[in-house]
Amino acid sequence: MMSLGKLITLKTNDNEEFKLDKTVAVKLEIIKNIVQDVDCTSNVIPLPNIDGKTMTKVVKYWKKHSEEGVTEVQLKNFDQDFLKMSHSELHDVHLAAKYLDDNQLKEVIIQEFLDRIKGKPIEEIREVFGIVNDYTPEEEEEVRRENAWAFE
Amino acid sequence: MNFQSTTRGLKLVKPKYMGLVEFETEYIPDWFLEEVLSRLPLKCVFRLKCVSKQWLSFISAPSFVNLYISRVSLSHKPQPWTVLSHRLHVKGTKFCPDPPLMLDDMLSADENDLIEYPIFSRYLYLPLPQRSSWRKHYDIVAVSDGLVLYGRIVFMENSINHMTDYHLYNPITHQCVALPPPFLCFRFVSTGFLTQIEGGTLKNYKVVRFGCQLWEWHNLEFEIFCSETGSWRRVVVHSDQAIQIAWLRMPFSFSGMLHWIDRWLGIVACDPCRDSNQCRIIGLPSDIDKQCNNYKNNGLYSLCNVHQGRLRYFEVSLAPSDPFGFSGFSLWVLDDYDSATWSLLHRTKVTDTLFDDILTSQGLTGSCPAPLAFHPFDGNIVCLSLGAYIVTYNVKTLKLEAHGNPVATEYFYESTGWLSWYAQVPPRLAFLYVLPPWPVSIPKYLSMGKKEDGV
Repeated sequence: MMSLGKLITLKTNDNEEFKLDKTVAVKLEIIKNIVQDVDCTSNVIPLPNIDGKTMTKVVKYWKKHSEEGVTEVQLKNFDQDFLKMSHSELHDVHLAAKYLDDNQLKEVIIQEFLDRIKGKPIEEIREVFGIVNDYTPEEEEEVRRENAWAFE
Repeated sequence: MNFQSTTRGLKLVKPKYMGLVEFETEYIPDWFLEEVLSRLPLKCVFRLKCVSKQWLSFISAPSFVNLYISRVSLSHKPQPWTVLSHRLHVKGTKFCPDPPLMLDDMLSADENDLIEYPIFSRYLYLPLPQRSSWRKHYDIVAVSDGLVLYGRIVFMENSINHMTDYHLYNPITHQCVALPPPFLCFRFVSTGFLTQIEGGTLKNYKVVRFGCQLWEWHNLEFEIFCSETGSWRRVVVHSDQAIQIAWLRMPFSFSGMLHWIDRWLGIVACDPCRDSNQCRIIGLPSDIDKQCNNYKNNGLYSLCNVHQGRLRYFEVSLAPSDPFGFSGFSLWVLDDYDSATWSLLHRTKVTDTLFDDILTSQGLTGSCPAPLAFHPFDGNIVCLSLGAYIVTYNVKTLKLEAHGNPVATEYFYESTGWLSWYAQVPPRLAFLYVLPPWPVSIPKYLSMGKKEDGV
């Protein structure tokens, strides 16, 4: 077990190091388990599945959300700014959150994806997510006709 | 979590993550589709089938449908529900109220609205899925898993009103399938409808027409349509005891059997689809008001169905109790299906029930309510029709409450059997309709090559 108040170092797969206050780090299931179960004298926890670019974002999110005295409004504004990233970046952060077992961050990302899809026309969704339309016009027309009720 | 499970977790996650394709290509990872699409509103998900073939096959897969359904049930939000009027109306005629409460309102109901008001407790008038003459009478005969079975009454010689032209109809997707015409003409018919659904798709269904007799009868005559064979067949089941069905009540299904109410004996449980050729009588509680199921009332004032997983019998005690139109309510539960033992769950006198302000001010305390259905989610509530209102009765609070707006009281000419009269809307027959979390699709092989699309 590590002693209280120490900093923990998270090391990404591209050897970037993030020093974190332990109180922030133990919020996360995976870190907590490693901290508790491993005799981690070096205080360096390797994260073989996350790169430095993604981890920078994750750590930024954690730090803001564990700031003392931070208000709901401030967090809301922060989240809004934080989520201004490309789909592939969001996707990476989601996978990192999934790996780190951070349900709160995972939910935030999924909600952002939902907001990007809801109420958008099909063409825009394809464009936004870079999806190639592999229907022929006839095929697409048929799918549309079969699901006409959903377009009413 | 111990260390071992942690390391196992690490090993599992690693290869999946490292090899994942990014969004830049047209391939969208499954987690995204699973996590995101399963949380979108129903209509939105169905629209997204148009995005690409990958999305179409993902959304149509039974595994996704099951995930979507389980997510809806995990959300613990009750599905919106309503009571369907038995008569189908052609859009734009005076019987299809304007603006009609359409299923669309239920589909697009805001989540917050539903928490406050999950009951769409106004009669829902379904429009006919096809353009047809308003002169023709189309009636809903049964509802199962969100699918509506309706038929047309044809006026025959010998004063027989023959029900034919059966259709299977999904009011959400407007998918509509015609059944071949039945052969037998029954004076009164009580129709059972059994559906089997897997992964959002209809696997098979059965329509069981029961020819009810005006007098006691030992040979019960059925005509059964099975989707597997695609045809009707006649089945006669012999009963040692003479049967006389209260034909205003539709049969209900419970553990794969259909159940009708006999005027004198109780519940007639029958599985005419299997070649058992037998039926079983389950006696009703001894102290019921037998008037409810008699020749005159035909089950209009009693309700027997599955509620909270068990069979329950609810009745309106009809002996008048001046100035009220009835004398009270009783509710029994069947403790044991095999030994047919009942317990009285609730009994109240009309003088102890609390009519709400609307019912009192409308002078409806002197009328007699008719039970429509048990509340789909609340074990304490029964829905009844009283005057032009749908009301709920709560056995805990003894409160009778009117919901929604009254149905416009219009009279229309109705003809059933050899009886004809000017019946009043609200109808005597109504069907509980709970919006399914996922609309059941009727596969092409079940549509008999005669598919008819919606309006």
